[in-house]
Parts: sequence; structure tokens; C-alpha cells
Amino acid sequence: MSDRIYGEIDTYPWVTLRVEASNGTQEIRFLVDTGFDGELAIPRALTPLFGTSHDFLEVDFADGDREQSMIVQCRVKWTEGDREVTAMYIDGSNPLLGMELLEDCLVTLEIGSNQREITIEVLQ
Amino acid sequence: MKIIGVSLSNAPVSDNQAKKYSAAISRTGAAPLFVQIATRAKKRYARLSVRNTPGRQSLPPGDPTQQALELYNAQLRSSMEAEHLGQYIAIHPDTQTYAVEQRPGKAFRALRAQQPVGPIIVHNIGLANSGLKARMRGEQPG
Repeated sequence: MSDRIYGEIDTYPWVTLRVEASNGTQEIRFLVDTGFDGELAIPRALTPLFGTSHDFLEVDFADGDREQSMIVQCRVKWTEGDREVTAMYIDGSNPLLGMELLEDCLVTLEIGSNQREITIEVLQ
Repeated sequence: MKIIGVSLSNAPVSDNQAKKYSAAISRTGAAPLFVQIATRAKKRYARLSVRNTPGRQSLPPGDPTQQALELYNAQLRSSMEAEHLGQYIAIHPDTQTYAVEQRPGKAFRALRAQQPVGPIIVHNIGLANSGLKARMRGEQPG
């Protein structure tokens, strides 16, 4: 088991995680999004893998809008082993990894001309 | 984990209320109650994420989200916004128990550990910024 997770950077940083969902296990490439305060956000296209639930996230916004997304549970292979997390369905096409999953982690971005890498390390 | 408490009593629909509701539906020519409920449930499963703007169609009575929002707005909002602004509350409508945490996933798991069965609705305390909305709508990033 590695104590670090490595990913690559194009325009955005990406990491690939092994996800055990209700209908199977799959490696999924997530965009690391520090502006998202949840754990995982997944496109609807992944419904066959993640399934459905009766649980929802309901969010009120400052402009008066309200959004609702279904929440599903899954397990991801993290540095210290499997971790149980929540994922919310979104309309977009990119799976997102948010700040909640990065808590207690050191996240390093190396954006050089030769090396473009993201490293996630759990703080002791 | 902060399990804050239990609030309100459960208020199941009585047989008389159900009969009145069914009679009202019959008078107005609307679909039988069970059909409406089935249709709503079907729509609910179909919409993994939905967009609700002001003037939106209200959620049906008895909907877990509606129950959770009613509990939150009637009993909890003022104290939550005073003490936990910017955090998330998870509400279990069946038992009217709830948990508050800094992040949505933590709030959900804290309450799920206490209530292993039944829907849980997670709600932000206060108002979220437009960044989360854009993500829920798939508008950014990438």
C-alpha cells in the first residue's frame, strides 16, 4: 500500500482512484477541485456503477436558487487503505474530488516544464 | 461527531386525513393518491440532480426532503445559523434526528451511524456560494 497518491496535471490536477461502488469496482479519474467542499462529485453517466439512494443534498444559494443532488455511498482506495465516502451526482462530465476528502492531507502541485504532478499525502 | 438532538414529534398522516386527501383528489379529478405517489417516486429516482429556482414546483407533502426542510425551517434554522453558519446539517425525517458537521459527508455519516435505515437529507446552514452551484450544474471547472 502506498502512503501517497500521485496524479498528473494538464490544465487541472487529476488523480485516479479505485472506487468500490454499489454495483461494482472501477478506477475513476477525478479532477482535484479545491473549490468543491464535498468528498466526491460524479456525473450522472456513472449511475450504473454507483446506483441510486433515498438520500439527498439540498443546497440554498445566496441568489435564492436551490439545488438538489442525490447522495450515494462508496469506498475509495486511499493512502491508508479503503475509506468510506459520499458522492453526489452532478450534471457535469468530470468526476470531482473535493476538499472534504483532502482534509488532513498535504497536497503538493509541481507545475514545471518537465514535471507536472500532484501528490496527496496523509498527514500523520 | 455532534448529534445535536431530536426535535418535533413524528406526525404520520392519519386514516381520516388520508381519506380526506383521497376524497379531495377524487373531487378534483386528479389521479388517485397512490398513482401520484408512485409517479413522484419514479420522478425522484429519475432525477439524480435537479435544479430548483424561485417559483419552482413545491415538493409533495410527505416527501422526505420536504419533511426535512419543514423541520429545519420551523425548528432549527435560527439556532443553526447562529451557531453553525457555513456548516452542514444532516436530517433523518423518519426520526427527526439530526447531526451537524463542518462538511456534508461527515454530517451524513455521523447521522447514518445513528440511523442505519431511512432517507437522510443534508442541507447547508446559511447560504452557499455560486461556486458550488456551478459544480452541481456541471458548469465548471474543466
